[in-house]
Amino acid sequence: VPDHPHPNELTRRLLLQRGAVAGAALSPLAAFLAACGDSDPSGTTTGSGAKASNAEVAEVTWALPFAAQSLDVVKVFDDATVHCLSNVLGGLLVFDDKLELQPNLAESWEQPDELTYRYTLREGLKFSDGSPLTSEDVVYSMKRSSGPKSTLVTFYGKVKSIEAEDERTVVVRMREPDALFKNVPAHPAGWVVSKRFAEQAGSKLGQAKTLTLGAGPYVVSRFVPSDLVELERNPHWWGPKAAVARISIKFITTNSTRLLAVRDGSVDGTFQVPLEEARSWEGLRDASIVEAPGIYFAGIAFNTRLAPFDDVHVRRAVAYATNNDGIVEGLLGGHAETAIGGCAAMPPLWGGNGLSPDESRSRMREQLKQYPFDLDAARRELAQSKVPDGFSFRLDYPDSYARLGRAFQVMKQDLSQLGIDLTVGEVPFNKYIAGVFNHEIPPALAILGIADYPDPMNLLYLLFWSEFARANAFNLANYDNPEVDRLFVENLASTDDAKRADLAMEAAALVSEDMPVNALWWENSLAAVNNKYVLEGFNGFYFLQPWGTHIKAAA
Amino acid sequence: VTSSALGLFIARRLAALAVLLVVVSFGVFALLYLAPGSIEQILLGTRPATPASIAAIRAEYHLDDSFLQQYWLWLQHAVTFDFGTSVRTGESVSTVIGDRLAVTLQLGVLAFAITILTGIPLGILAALRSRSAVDRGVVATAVAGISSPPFFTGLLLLYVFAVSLGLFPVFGAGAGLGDRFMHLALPAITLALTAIAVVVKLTRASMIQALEQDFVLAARARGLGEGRVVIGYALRNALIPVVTSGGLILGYMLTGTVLVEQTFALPGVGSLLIDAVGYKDIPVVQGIAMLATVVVVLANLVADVLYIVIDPRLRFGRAQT
Repeated sequence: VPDHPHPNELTRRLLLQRGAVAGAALSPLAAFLAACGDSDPSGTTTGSGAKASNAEVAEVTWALPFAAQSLDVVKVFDDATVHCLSNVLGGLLVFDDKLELQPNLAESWEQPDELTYRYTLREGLKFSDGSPLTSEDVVYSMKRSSGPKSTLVTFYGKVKSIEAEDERTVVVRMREPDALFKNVPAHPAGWVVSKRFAEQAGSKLGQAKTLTLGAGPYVVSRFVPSDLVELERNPHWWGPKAAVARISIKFITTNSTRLLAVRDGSVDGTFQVPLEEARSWEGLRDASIVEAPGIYFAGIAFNTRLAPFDDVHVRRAVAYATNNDGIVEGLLGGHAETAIGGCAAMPPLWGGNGLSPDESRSRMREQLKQYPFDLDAARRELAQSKVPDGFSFRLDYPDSYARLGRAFQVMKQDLSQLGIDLTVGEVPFNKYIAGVFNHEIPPALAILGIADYPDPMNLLYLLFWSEFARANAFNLANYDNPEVDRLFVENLASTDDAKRADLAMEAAALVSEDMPVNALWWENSLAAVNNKYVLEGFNGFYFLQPWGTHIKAAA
Repeated sequence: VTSSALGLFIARRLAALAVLLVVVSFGVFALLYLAPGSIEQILLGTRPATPASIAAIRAEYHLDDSFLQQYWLWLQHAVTFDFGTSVRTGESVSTVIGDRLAVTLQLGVLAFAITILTGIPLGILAALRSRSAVDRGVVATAVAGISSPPFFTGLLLLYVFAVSLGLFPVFGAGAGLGDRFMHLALPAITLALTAIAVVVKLTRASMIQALEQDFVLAARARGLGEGRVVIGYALRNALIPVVTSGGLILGYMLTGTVLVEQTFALPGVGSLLIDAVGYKDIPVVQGIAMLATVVVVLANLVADVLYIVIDPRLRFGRAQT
């Protein structure tokens, strides 16, 4: 196969590119630290391998790469606020480390029909100030999240009513079936604050002088916007006592500074270690990297309404010519997972709905059309298309996402062998995102996605439902397949998890045949933890869990 | 005559400040208005939004009004010192900025002090050893400082003095006076390094000129000690351009903390500005822009007044110009 690059050649090319990247990156320190002989020559480590003990820990300092401005998630739904409050508020349900829904404030729940969810609260629940938590608080909080001024209102799109049947029972009724709603009580959109406290605070809820009041394992004792949040163990929490008494959360937005802070021990751990700099972080002597499949994907949406990508053969040709594995290894150091079947919508980690992540992966490999890197297959597809001799197109990547630009450069080289001329450009992130919201879709568009919760339908439906091919929604490929739509409707109306998994897989199989979105990767989630501590059960959705209770002293 | 002329001078400058504030606020407002992205998109994030939820937010922030109506609404409140509320957090802009002002002011003033206290002696040293290796070394070092980006200088200082030597903390603002000082030392040095060269070169040039003056020769001829000649005669005359530029430098120090605050994770106005621009939080950006304008204009005004006070030739008649 003369045109097929030799694997070693390819690796070398990618490595060269990676070297160039390290030199040019805005991190003089990554190279600098390596030069200082602090790298671990024995190779990478994933976790310190230490066992956790249940010893009492007086205090840990945890860094976040973003800064919280508010402690009210209804007003500000962003990474920083969510990370701080997941230890403090919490909802009726919670995702466990296997990403299954488990009781939290509710001791049990049922779905008597597809339109009704009924939750029964634990007995004797208390907020962190000792006041009782009743169904009134839950109803108030969910109504507040679904109110017109809430940034979380979209999670309640199909909810008709939220009512307290008695002190311990909350009933949510839907206007039409929405199987995805079952995840909301474990999502920030379902977190519970004290009604009395929130009403007294009014618009000041979550501000530095007011703070907030929840029933999670920790209570906020201090909040300095842009600077820090201090948490103390909540003596009234219903669950088993957390090992760490105090958590001091510091906001350090510059990655190199964060690396130095972990290195010198003034920070005990941090989340969202940048993938491109993972090697510098792995070289730390006193800290280890913990890694899990993550929730961020990146790829390319083909506008199925515009030439040349209105032709399925063209889309498939580009997919076959995309060296996903090479990109993941070469550009992201293996800290990502190739999207199976090129289908963006199926995160590698959905374990809910009766399937383990491994089971879902193997089913995806079986049922979805696969696009292994194969330039001959790409040539055959292109020959069947309306543009057999090739064409040119443009891909702009958002400037804050340089790794996507580098992946496009790798694609450019492979595509040129098919006579396809790809021009790679850079666009300011705000301009990019405005175009996405306004649904101004060029023939091919960089696409970045984040899963909201571990449900196979989450992104599948947001990205490929025909009704979402409009402004302020995210069917960016303008994908329109009535059969897929029908499977979505059936899925959302079902209360049977196994059946929903089957329907989602069936829809994803159809989507993968049509190749509207060529997903490149799902990024792993990386945490760095000082070897004095262990972060238990780390997973891509850690920030929806009370992660403070997962920090233990190393045995 | 002197004080009334000075009063008039100050009054005219303050009137100019008011005009400048309107111009700057209009410019910033227009730029943010034109920048891509809209508030409702930023607030609702990457979820399919319904027309109702978009309409609710657009109504709340008057986004359906025309550009001029929106600006006028802001201006009407701003003249009564009501700068509105942050789009992101709903807090009043004065509170949001006020909470972060102390760190930025302390950082700026400390950096200014370092700049002056190292820049002037180094400038004198370079002037006294003019054209020697010492002169070239001092000037070259200062220029290297001004030429390297603050985030790089900052990380280098962090690596050497905080991580390797353990003398200073790596990040944050600290609590209490002594702790705050230790936390701000490296950031302040980083910031100072971007301006010391200006002071060194000004002092040096002005000192070399002064040392060549006849009155210096006369003082030496009268047998005065070298120290007294340099400090009492040459420096006193050489300082006038340095004092004037001091106003500019102070203004720069107080408004140029953005990168340094980011590097050292300091919760100051600079970090707030980056955050507010990213989230298109127009009221907060406007508030910071107004504050920065006032600081720069006042710092310059103080320098000009000092100039008049120091230089007797400027005291009479010429103050109006």
